[in-house]
Amino acid sequence: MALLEVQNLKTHFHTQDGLVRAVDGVSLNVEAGKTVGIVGESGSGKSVTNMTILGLVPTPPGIIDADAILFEGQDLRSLSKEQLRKLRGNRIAMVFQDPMTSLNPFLTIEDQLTEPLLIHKGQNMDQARQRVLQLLKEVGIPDPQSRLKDYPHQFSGGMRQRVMMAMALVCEPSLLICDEPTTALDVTIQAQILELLKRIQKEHGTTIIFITHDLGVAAGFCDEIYVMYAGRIVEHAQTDELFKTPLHPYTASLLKSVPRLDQEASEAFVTIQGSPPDLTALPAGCSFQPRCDHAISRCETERPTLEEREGNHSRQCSCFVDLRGEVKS
Amino acid sequence: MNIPIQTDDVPMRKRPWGEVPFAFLVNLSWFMSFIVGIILIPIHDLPITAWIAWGLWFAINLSVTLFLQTKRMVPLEAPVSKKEIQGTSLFKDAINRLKQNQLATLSAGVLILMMICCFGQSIIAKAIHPDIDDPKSIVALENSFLSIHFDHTRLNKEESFSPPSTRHWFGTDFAGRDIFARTLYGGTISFLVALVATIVSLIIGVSWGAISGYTGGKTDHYMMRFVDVLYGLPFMFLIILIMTLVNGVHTTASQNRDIVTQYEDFLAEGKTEEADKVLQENELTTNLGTVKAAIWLDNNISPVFVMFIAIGLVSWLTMARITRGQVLSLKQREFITAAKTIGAGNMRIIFLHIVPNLLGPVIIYTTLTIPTVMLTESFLSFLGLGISEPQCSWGSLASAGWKEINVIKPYWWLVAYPTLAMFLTLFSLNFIGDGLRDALDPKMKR
Repeated sequence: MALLEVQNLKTHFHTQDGLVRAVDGVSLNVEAGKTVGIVGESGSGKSVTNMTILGLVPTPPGIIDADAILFEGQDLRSLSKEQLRKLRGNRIAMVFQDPMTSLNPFLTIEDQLTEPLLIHKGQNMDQARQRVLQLLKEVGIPDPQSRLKDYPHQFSGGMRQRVMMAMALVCEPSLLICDEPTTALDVTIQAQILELLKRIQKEHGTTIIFITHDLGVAAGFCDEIYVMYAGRIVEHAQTDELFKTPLHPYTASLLKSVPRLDQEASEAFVTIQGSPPDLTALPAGCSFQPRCDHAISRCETERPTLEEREGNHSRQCSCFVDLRGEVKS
Repeated sequence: MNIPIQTDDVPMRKRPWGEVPFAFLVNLSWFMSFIVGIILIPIHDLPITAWIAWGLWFAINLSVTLFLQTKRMVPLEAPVSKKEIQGTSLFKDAINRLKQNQLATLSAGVLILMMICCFGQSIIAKAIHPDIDDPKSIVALENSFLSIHFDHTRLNKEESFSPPSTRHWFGTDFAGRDIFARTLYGGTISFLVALVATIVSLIIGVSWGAISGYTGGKTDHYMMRFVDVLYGLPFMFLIILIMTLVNGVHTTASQNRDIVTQYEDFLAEGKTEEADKVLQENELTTNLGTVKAAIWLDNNISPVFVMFIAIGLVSWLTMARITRGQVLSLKQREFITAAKTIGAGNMRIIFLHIVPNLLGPVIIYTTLTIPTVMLTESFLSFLGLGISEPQCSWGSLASAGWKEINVIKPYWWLVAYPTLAMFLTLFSLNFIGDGLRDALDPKMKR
């Protein structure tokens, strides 16, 4: 059974400009122990999807609708706020993008790290401190005993991200959502953090949802990848297949626009034309159609749905055009 | 100023005055010598030895200062300390920066001295005159040193309106009471008003603002509109209303206390008829309950305490608004979302994650509230609504003095000394507030 199953999730926001369809019918299927990547450009709804799953989207202005959000067989929609709160940090944890701003500058890291244990496990401070020390060692903070009383600003960016991870892992969650955990870090620290995440996953069997817009990181780290565009999933495949033969024009363009070391310096840098669509006024047909090189007339009027390709369950795409030259009926 | 100067190949630097050891004490000593000098000038029968002693103090200050000036050059390298390098918290950092601010530290020193003197007077007065709070035991004509200088209730009609002298350093008022003792006693009341009102305004203001700002939506709307309504009321009017009510209760109680006691004594002895007669004579048959309630209130709640609460109740409004504004921006920060994702409840987030972040603005606003509250109390005392004789505060002393003096009777000491004390305290508090604001502002970090 899947650890997390989301069916047809819609998160809309009422704003003065109209209804913003931040997430518009997303279905995810996360198997236990796997690493699932969600890639897409800014504003494609990656973070909102996960915030909705965690129940952190305020309603109003948010409007949430879904056929099912099942976590460990439990429907999250049917849980009360209190029950949901007990789930957060305990069974589902989250690591944020910017370690510089996601730690409270006025509390010592000891206070912040022990907090989940005090809230969820009802442990006293001494027990919690022991557990935190062990975890800090695990995430690679040297001499954790002397650093417990330190404040966040006394740590470097990479160290803080390690602290954030320790904070997320302190209650042994079964699902860890990483919201662009390496974006704010430089490349060498990025590699260390990813290494750490892999090790943690191996040792604890944690399932990871990895949100990123760095395709290189996603390729190296994830088992399967969902590609999101304008609040919808446009392609879903095993990582190898996705990078070998992208089926959706958007995925293909994304892959083409990644700068490569073996590229000639004089070669023009490939970009995707235009900018992401206004979420309050999405095109009638395919959302990507105005920017698409392969658009056909049908794209303008009819919205494609996510369909299985080649009979392979893990290979889905929402496009009328097949990049391998076949036009779908 | 810190240009290294080569001497014997050791780079030297000139320390700022604030970094020199004992600089704070020297500053304080200089300041106090000037204050004492000002106090000594008007004492007409001062023996010359006092001025010599003062001159000696001045000379000591001067020589210590000159000696310390020679110690300002130090090697550029900090001495290697064997102590383990400890991380500094924001708070420690702020304290360090506050120490650099000489005006603020000097003000803190002056304020602390002032409080020691004021509360010291209360202790001494209580020791030499144990039933000092009983209004019936005012007269205590004892001629000991402590009694003359520290008993604020000591009456002596023959000495009324005597100017500053060695017997009465600050002079005396119409009843021959020592202004020095009364100024110090007034300080306790003023400091207590500040303390109680500030605590009340801190607790209500910060909680109200934090909960309102964090919850948002309709709750926020109604909570802030309530604050707006209170803002709209002329708050002096509100306090005056409360104080008038308290005064009314006090009058009713003191008028009828004896009658009710008499009535109850009769009841206890079983003489119901005579008890009823007492009531009828004093027209208390119908409103006995009210009078009893007034007596109970008067016995159990002191009017000074009510004034503290009344001032506190209206001084939290601005605090609530400031807190709310801060919380509105803080709750959007990522670490609050992070706290939500680990499953922290709303109250936990407000009081454990948000309130510590409010520390800076709240501390600063508090130091600015204290002078306001003291001035409010003075104004109330000036109107005759604050505290009652023989208790006094700086405000009531000044207002009582102001009523006494005119062109023919230029008894300036009645007003000058309480005003000077208040002036010193308010300036100190303002400088401390300024210093704290600079110290707690992370942008000021060097």
